[in-house]
Amino acid sequence: MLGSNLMRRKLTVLITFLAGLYFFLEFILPESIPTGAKEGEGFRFGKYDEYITIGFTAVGTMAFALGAVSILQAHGGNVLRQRKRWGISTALILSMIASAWIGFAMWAARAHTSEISNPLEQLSASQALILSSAKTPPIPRHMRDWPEERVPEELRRIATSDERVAAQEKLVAALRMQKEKLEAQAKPPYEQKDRHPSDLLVDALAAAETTAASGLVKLKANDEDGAEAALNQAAAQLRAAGAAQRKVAQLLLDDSLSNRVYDFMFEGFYIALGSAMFSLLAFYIATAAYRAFRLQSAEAFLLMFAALLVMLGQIPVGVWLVDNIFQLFGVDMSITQVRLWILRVVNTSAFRGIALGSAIAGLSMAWRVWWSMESSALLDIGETGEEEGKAAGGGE
Amino acid sequence: MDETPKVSLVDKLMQLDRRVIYVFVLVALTVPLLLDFGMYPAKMETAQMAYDAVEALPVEKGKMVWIAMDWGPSTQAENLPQTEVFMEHLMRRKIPFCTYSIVFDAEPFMKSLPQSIAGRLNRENEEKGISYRYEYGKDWVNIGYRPAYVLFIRGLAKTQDVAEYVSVDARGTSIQDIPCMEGVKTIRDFSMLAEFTGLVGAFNAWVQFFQTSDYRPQFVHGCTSITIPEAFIYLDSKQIQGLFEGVAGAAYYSQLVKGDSFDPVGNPDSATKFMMSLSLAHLVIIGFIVLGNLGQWAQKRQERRGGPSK
Repeated sequence: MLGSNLMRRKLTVLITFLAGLYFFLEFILPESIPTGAKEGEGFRFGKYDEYITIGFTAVGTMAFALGAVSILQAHGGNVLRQRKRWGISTALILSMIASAWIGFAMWAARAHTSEISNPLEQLSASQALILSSAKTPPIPRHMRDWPEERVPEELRRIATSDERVAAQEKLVAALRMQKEKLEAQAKPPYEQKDRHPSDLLVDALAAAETTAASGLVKLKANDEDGAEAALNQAAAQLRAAGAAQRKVAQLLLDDSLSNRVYDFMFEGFYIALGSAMFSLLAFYIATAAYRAFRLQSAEAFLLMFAALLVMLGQIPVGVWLVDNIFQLFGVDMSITQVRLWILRVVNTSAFRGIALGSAIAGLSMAWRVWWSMESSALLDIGETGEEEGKAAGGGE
Repeated sequence: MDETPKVSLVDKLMQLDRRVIYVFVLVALTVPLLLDFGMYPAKMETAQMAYDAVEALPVEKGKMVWIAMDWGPSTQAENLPQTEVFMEHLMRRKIPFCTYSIVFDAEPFMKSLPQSIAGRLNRENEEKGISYRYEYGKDWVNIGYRPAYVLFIRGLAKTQDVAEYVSVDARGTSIQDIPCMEGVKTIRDFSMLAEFTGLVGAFNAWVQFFQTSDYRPQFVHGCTSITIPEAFIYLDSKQIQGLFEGVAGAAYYSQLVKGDSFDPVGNPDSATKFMMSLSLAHLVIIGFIVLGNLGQWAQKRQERRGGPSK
């Protein structure tokens, strides 16, 4: 047990050190280190930086799961043992479950929405492939990098006339089926004055079907120029239909039960409660200012005088009041200028000193964390087994 | 016969119930919001700088503005009007933008705010007989919330293919299918970064990481009143080109964007209403500070004369 804990501790220290070393080197090393090769072909330390970053992001995301487990452990215990204020713990757990449930429901709904226009996009891609299948190279420029599952090997060669006709016949049939299916699709509410996206979608599909069918006739008649023009137009109409379908899908998502519950929970509860919590500060600040902001010394007077000038210089009533007083005394100046001077000159110089000081402290802290010189709860776990027990029952 | 001890006015003042102060603050905050009461905002040099920076942006295909909405319900009173007027300015100039956040509770605002501005501007266009319609995908895209913000920002600044890096928008649509993202490949295609937050750490992350060795986009920042002092050091070093100082900055920016149609007295917008509300609250606080000090002075004077004291 002690051995595995020691191993875990060493592993934590090692990973912390290596991660710190990587980001440190990535920051200080030049983008490309010449190794005697041609210019621009040297060693790139940050070559896989994007993947490493995504990996760390994934690790960071796991913190959410840890947070959920921690809440369930701490508050679940309160509820099961009916400890003091167990009702609040119940409310917390139920809120978390409800939020997670609606979050997953929205994720599923969004995934469905993003896939809804796939059939039309596939038809559009097929039309572009048929169009270019008689040319060299037979793959349209934007599809050349597509993987084999999207553009199979047999389509990467020049097609015969019969193959093109057969493919276009299949496309027209698929397009007809898709049109019938989408015509029967529910029409979501739409508040704008312009045409409903569902109508635009049906019109675009009808136009694409007509044009694709006319292209088929021309392909059969070996009218290459006429066929090319028609297939080009059909591909564009299918793209327009795809865009209209995405809009319809979004409207359907907005009108869905999941979305309405999500909006109700966020706007009805979360935003209102979050704003209310922060708003309380205004009341505390007013009381604290009345009771504590007293002119007990010259420094306090200076601070209050500067604060008053800054506050008066940014509110319309203050500007009107003080500027009129300035005018009365023949001072050609505005309080807004005085306020700006205090902030730009006095405040900036003082604050920069504070910022530099805290940055140096941050650097020192970063060094200690990098070398695992900070004794943390994580590193102390399992030495006696006692800490582990405490961590598991945190909050009790 | 018992005689109740006489309490002087000064003593009453010094023992003022905190609930009286709360009522004053409540009235100051709510009256401008309920009565649509507004005034012309104070001149804000820093908001003017932000406005000029946006006015100088090029309007060209493949260039857009990255808006970091790193705020939630807690600071919406200040950050929401700032973001709103900034988005309106971009939309009026037909400069597309991305919305993104490092805080999850910005999600509902990223969805609803551009939509409501677009709706308002579309109605305005209809009234003026202008056919242009503001639409999602054409004028803006919502990237949504992403975790591990420092790493995400760092990666975004370095990527050679933004569409591949970001992958999908908040609706799950592939970035490659979004018209306004066409031609956007690297950080160089973001002509400006606008960051709105009350979190100093969030702002610092953008300053540090949203740049490459040879490119740094124009940067405007919207902060809450409490973080204004720190933001000024970045303005002085020219790391930011403009600043929204709390809601007062938003109100002045709104005046600049709306020009002659800005009517804070007859038809105040949200920035002006919030600004008036906070302005009156400021006055109440100033009044109470003065009152508290006068009370203390009078009490000391009374003590010196041997009068009643606590």
